[in-house]
Amino acid sequence: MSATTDLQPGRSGPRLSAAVRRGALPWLILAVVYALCVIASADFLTWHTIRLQLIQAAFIGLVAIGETLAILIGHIDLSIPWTITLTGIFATNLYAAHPHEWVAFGAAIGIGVAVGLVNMLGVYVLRVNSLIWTLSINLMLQGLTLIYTNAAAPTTVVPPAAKFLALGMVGEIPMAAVLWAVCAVIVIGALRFTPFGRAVYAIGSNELVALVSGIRLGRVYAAVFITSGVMAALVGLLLSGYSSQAYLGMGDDYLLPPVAAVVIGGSRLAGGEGGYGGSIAGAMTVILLEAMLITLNVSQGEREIVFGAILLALAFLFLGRSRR
Amino acid sequence: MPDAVLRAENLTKRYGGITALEDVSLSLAAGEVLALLGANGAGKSTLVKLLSGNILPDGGSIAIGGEGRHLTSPRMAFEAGVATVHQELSLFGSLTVAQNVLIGREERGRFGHIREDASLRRTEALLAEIGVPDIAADARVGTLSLAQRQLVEIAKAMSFDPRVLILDEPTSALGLTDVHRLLTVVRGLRAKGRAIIFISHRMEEIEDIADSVTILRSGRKVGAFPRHSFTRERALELMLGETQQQLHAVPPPPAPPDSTPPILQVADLRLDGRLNGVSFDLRPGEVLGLAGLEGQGQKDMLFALFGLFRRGLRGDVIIRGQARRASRPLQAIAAGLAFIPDDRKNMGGFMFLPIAHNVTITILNRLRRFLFLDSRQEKAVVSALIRQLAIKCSSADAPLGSLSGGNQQKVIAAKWLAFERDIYLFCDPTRGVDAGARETIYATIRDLAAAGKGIILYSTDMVEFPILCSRVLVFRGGKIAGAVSGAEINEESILALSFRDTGTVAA
Repeated sequence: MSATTDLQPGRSGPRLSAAVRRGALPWLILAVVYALCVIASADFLTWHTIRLQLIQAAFIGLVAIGETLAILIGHIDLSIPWTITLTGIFATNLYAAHPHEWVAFGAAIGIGVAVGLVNMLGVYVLRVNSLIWTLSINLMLQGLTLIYTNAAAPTTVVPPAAKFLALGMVGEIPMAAVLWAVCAVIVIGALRFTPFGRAVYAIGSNELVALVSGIRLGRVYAAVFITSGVMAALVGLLLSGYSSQAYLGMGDDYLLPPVAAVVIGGSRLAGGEGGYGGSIAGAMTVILLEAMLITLNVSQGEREIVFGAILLALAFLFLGRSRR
Repeated sequence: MPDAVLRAENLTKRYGGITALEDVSLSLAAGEVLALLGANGAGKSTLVKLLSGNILPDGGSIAIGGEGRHLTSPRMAFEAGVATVHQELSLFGSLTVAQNVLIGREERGRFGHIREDASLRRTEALLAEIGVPDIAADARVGTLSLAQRQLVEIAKAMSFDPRVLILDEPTSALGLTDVHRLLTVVRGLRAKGRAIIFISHRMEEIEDIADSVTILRSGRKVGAFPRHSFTRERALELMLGETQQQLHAVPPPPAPPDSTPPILQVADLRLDGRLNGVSFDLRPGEVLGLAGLEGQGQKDMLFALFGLFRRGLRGDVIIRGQARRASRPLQAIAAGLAFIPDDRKNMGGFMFLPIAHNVTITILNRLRRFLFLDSRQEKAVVSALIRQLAIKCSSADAPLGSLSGGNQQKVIAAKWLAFERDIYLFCDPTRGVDAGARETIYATIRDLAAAGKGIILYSTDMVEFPILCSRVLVFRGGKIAGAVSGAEINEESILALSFRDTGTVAA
């Protein structure tokens, strides 16, 4: 009988509130950073400015979906920047030659899936450290992009749908934010309420236990890295829509900011703990920090240094906190 | 004995509330080989760790060469003149014999650089001294046989020029020829006046080489003989003791009738040196015990059945008449196997995930309705199992790691009760588990047997076999040394088989 009485939910109170506190921390950080932004410039109170930041945050937030999944299973995806650039340039060029929306989006999804499969191959099948593997793939995608642009110059012809998704408005809300919200709901739901989500946390907690419990590791790895590849490719299209052109280096700002967003969001870098909810706040925080530094006329070089320092501090804090 | 090189008096070591070693004294003269005998958990390794400076005693004293010593580190033990060759070899496969033997103490040149040639020569001299000049000092250890590595370990120990040499089961992994060679080396060292503590489970080796035999049981010294008055029967009796009061309090589940077709057939299973041709049948409703001293292949057997060896496994595993040898856990699970490992932290459960998620990890697909997990059904499954196994927890959402070891083990068992399988492999399920949880695990095993499941139970606690198993296979050197069934299952018969002659087995 003690077992049944022990099941009373009331006793989990303190633990629950600790979890809530932990879940709330990224939003608290976001609030502080936003307050600092407002102090730096009252412009941050206007909807116009907020809207612009929201679009930027959506781009980071969308790629942070894949990054969150990769980090939750205990890995990382650093192949995002050149997946973005390659997709942006290749898909728009293809669209210029064959002006159908589905051609551009089909190409983007194809590139995303391919990159994801290659990453899964290296990290799961060949067991290469994901940091090394995905960074090398990033480098190779860069090479591929350069070879491709030698043969075909980037174009300014951009699919209208990409433009709409990046710049369009639904009433007063940017379309990019709506897209982000929809994707966020799907990811959070998948992580919390589906077998896939359970498997992701299981693998990140202890891969050997997941293996002997009958989890199909390969499928989960594939799903995680393909999601990451497809989200990066999609953002590649959106970014070319946003600037009405695709160009070399357009993905360069997407190497570490997504990682920073996930870590600020409270996910454990070693995997198994966290979720996408925090990454949303993390993405906004990263963008606001950047905007604030620009407002304060901090030069690009100095901004990079500040960002590097923040990332290191986060890694130190969060890794240190969860070393157990 | 005033001439004792090593004298240990009243050594006592406690871990928490458990006394691993109590009041053990022994003394050892130059040129003497003292054999140490005892079953699993008798305290042999504790004694070795104390003498080699790996742990400190809670009571008692150690004197070496008549001088009281406080051995606070392995280094200090070396300096005091005690060198130990541990059971797990500690050589670097990618380094040469000389680099291993003199590691950290290489011959140095004027600028502090390592003089490989001088190191080589010194190692060659050491190898010649212990009587194995055929091992090349510049060979990579990775290319040597297990027996040769064992001898390199001895050379390494001898490089400290010890007065006392401790050999912890040096022969356990060796074949007959290599054993003879090693014993010859030991004899040579004895002739040179070294005092040697020799640990082995092989009676004939002990009869062959020991000058005296000390027997431990449950952390106490229960007997010491000079060689001439030692008999195997007496030794077994002493190792066994009188621990058999409660044994037949509960009869084991009845053996299924002989006519029942087997659910699992294993034929000539081999795994490079660790399993050397194991064959047996398991019938539904049967609890089959795997016994023997630790590390004789029982655990490898379970790991092999559950697909944890991706390659190197040979032989047949037939489940319900179909060949189902697994090279991945998924295949084993699909073939109807469940595995409850002994290493809860690394293989058993997700310590930081909720209890509920640990239990239902095996049945995620079954709990899926359309895309999502049916949380009501999940709650029902989990709370039923929490009740059934009397798992003590504040809530099903509490992390697994917050539970006691026994309750963790129940949760790990629960995940395979949620996902019902035909054959359950229990790998030492009660290790480090409290009495209450033990009873629950025993009851679970009985219930599974009653439900017609096939069960294989590997245990390091021999008390469990008579109360749970209808048949016990005793492993030795990766083979089945013998089987006992029914009323013959007791510690005595198991120990006798565990320690039986290698002559017939090692060939």
